[in-house]
Amino acid sequence: MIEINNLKFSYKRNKMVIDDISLNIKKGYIHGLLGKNGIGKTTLLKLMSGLLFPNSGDIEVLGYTPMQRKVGFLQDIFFLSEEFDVYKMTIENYVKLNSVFYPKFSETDFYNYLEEFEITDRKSKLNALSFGTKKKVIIAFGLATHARLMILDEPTNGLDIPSKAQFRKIILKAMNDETTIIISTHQVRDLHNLIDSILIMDERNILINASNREITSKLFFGVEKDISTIDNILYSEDNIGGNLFVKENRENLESNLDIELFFNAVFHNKEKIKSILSNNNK
Amino acid sequence: MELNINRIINLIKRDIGIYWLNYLGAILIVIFLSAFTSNFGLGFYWFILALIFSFKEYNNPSKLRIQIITLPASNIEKYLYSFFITFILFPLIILLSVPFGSVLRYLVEMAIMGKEFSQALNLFPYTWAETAYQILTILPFVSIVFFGNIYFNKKGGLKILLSFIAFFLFVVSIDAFILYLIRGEGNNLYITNQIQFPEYTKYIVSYGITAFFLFLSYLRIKEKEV
Repeated sequence: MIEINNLKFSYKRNKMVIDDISLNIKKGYIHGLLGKNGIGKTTLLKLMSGLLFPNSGDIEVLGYTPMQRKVGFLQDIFFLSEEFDVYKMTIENYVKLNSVFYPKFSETDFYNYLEEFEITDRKSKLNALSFGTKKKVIIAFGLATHARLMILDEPTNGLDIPSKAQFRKIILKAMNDETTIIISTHQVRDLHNLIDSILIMDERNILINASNREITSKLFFGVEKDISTIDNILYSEDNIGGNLFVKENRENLESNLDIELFFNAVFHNKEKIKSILSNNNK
Repeated sequence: MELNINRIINLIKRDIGIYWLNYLGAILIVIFLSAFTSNFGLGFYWFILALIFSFKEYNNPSKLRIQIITLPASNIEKYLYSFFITFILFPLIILLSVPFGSVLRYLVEMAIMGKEFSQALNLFPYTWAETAYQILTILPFVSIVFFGNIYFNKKGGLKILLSFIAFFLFVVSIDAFILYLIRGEGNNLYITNQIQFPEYTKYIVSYGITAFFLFLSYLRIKEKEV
């Protein structure tokens, strides 16, 4: 689906934003791209979308080189930018003028998604809507294109609490074996129960690239009042119900991935967790 | 090369759908100016329209520019649609607006100055030769503006104007300096007044500049980033 080799990118000379990243992203997953602010997540997504060109290295997305911007590639990818704007036109006109470029676009699906987002007035002026509502319209449009790759940069920013739940529901509904979604965020709680593979970016590079199943097979996520007797703890933090902890899963116990805890654990104990996850991937 | 005429037509429809109000405003301004002043020629109107509207979507802030870059159409299709807007649609708009300007002037003259209805109305105050001359004269400048708007990311129009002024000052300075070296102090005539070029060289230079900047614009659209 996405193959990246030795990718390097800088906006200015001698200041690398992406430094020698190699990465393989599988199709049919919802990948969460996590990382601290300003670490290069958006830049990486823009490179995958052909919006930026790499200094060196190769990127192959859906069998295309993004920087060539072939029509087939652009028809099969939808990029939602964190910062976006819309033209002065109605929702109806927006769809009429843009949908003709996407051969798999379904108007019925689009209006169904809008209904799920509780947007009913098709004649609303896009530019007059709130930022969150504009975003919902663009997300609905993106999903209705049936693009094989959806790249969503901070999609839940600007959405209110009910809309975040609607967003999760709609994404899961739109998902199938041929669709891949990459969601970049620093609000990991918004993606709980949504993503099934995690990419964590560190300074200019990818630190972790593993599916939830791979992570929970190697690491155990638990909560205990007293953690002093537990061996192999990699990270813990206080919580109201006790101590949340991550430990090496040598006993093959089952647990649910706590994304935020995992993210904090990775940055607390980078090398150890990286080596646990990279050994004998299941 | 991916070239689909339907996609180009859809790009043009989309452009008009987005900017129809701006184009309508431009038409009204051209009608008004051509009705009440003879100071501006057809070329001037074209230059201004190209300055403001050519590659408009690429000249928007990056938040909007993303839309045209990721829109499923090839680079050559996006280029040809932009070419159509600037080099075909705008001259047509101007040529069609001028007769409306003449009608407007005629009506105003009737209403204010008591001109009689029976007097002849000259719909198009330029001969075909004048029209062709004005369009051909401004063509290289429009091609430079066309390139400038795809080259720069923000405030392309202003930057192009400043580039024009800087380039003009540079040429005049060089001209004056060379003349000073050749003729010495006290001569205020520029080289361009001293040398007589054959008529055809003007066309060669004009079309050459146009072709060069059109080609550069195509290269630039391929490399345009957010």
